[in-house]
Amino acid sequence: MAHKKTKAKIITSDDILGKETVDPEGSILGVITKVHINKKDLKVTGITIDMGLLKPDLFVGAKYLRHLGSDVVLLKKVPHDKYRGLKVLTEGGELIGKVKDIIVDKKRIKAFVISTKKVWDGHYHVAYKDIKEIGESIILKQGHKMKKKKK
Amino acid sequence: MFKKETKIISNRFKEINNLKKFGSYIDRKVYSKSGEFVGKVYDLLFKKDIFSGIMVKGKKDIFIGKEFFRGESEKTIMLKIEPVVNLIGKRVFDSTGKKVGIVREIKRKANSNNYTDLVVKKSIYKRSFTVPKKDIEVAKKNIILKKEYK
Repeated sequence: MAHKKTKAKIITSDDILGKETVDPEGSILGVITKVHINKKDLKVTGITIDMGLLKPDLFVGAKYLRHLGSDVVLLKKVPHDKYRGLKVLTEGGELIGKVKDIIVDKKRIKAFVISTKKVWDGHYHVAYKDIKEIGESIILKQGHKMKKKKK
Repeated sequence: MFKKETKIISNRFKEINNLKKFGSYIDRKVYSKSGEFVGKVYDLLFKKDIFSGIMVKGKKDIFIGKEFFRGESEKTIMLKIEPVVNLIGKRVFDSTGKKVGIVREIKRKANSNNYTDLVVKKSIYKRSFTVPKKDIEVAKKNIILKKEYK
């Protein structure tokens, strides 16, 4: 009986590898390619997610894993890297550019670095407070300020 | 190079440059509140003389009333809402990460943008079942439920 109980709690690496990861917003981030294990205490420290060809792999710490499900792995938080490459639109729907980078301060997003449609125009900073909505695209508030990034 | 002059025949308007051309709405991209692409405008509907909304072709054909417009630019229209019909075809997971099925149908109150239940089906061989709105934790890119479904 006791053996059965422990068996139900234990899963193998095969049960995790190749599974899709879903963030709290329901987006599928990618497929798990690695499980990281601490050599000393033999505990799982995190997983690596393959986010596709154009995006770099993402490491997610074990404390951010909500549930290792039978079909997908649920995460507790939305990784900031997910926002890289999202379209940036004004409230009126005008396309400004795409998110190039994210500036994080103490685990909170401070600003987004945006590359505009015109390549020669360079990059701009938009503060987090100037953002109205983050979803499939980033929508800026009316009267938002864009600061040109210094080289 | 040379813009043809337009002759005006109207008792109400002397100038037409400040009037909006409805033809410019055709093929405009429509985005939801969160910036999700909904589709492209393919027709405009009027009731008597008054513009009432747009017909959008995306995953589904949708009519969106003009009361749901938030803003517009030359090529896009932004909506105030997340159209509920966009939930059709999205995957449903329970709180333990188990795939429950795919949204097949949405039960709504009349034609409003609020839904009461989602009709979910796991596979063609299995019966569909309804998931009430109160059991849904997140309904964005995919749907995550509050509890475990067996």
